[in-house]
Amino acid sequence: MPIFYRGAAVGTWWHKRDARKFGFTPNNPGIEATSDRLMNHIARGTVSSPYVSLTRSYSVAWSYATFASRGGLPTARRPAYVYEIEINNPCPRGLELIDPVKELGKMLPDPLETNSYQHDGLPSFLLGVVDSSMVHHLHAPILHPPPGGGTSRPALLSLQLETLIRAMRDAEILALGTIPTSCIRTRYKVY
Amino acid sequence: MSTNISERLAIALPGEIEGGAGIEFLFVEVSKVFPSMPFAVVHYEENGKRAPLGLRLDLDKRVFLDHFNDKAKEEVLSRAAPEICAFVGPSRQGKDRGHNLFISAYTLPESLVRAGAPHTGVQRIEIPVGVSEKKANAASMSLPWDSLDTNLVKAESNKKKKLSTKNRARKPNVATAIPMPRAKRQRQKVQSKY
Repeated sequence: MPIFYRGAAVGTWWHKRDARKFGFTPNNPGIEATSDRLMNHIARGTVSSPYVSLTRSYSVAWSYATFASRGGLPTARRPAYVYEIEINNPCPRGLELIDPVKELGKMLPDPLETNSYQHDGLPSFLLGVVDSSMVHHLHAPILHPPPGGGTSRPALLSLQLETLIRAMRDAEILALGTIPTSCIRTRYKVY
Repeated sequence: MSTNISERLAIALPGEIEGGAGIEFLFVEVSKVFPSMPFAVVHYEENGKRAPLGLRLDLDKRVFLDHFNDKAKEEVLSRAAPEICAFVGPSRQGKDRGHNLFISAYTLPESLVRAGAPHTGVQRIEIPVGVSEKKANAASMSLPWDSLDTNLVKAESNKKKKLSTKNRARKPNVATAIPMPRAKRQRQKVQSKY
């Protein structure tokens, strides 16, 4: 019986609306679920999405709830919340859980294709993607094979690679459809 | 005076980040205790009036997690997000000093409690500002959480022992050498408590 979490920072929708009473619904349930939408949901934070983001990590949910509270710091009087969600196998009707890493893996281009999802920069390039405080790694020019030359440019970053990194950062699992109230076990107060 | 785990550092934005479409960015809040946390909250004025709720900003993704319905305002946010991230960048490079607070700052998930782990409840340790790293570490060492870690390490090492063949010569193993008499004492203390 896997357990998932979702943080609700002070001043956000799921802070005001108690998911234990209403369940979790996506922002735009009617919209078609495609790989592009999945990538945009994770990497670009697109709001109009058929997915609800969950995480396997309580720590990640806690961080979202604590550090992204909109209306001041969470306090004992006005705490942020972390929802604990337990979803049994098989999933409730109308709900599907998607592991974005596995989902993306299915559609990554073949190694023989000209266009790759992989970067062509230095090994330190990923540091710049993972942490924006190391953004200088993103701008480091790539090296060309001898005799060198060519136009200087930074490494390529595909949306697929970016999405993989973001999904792993947040231990993210996407729920497609509505998460019923019966799956929401509890709501922890955090501050 | 005490340190709160969710304490924030406010960085003024006027004159640094250009607004537009009626939006003027006032200041951005980042975690003071965990500078590497990738979340910030940007406070702003809308048509000259301070908005009661700030906008969440994911510093790694370099996007706002909150949005406007107004297209022009959305464009301002899209443009400003990477600029604010770059501006805030240097303040994120400080050393996280909240790991000691972090241990005790939240309730253990119920799943762990069900598995027999000790429950810290809503216990909350606030370490006064200026307490040295050593003292802070010592404060956190007495927490049941540490004993939990030790127990888990020991359980893991016992599992490994069972799996290994009986006749094989035993080599000293760093992982199995972790439980010390001190850890045993701690465990007994915890068992008597819970």
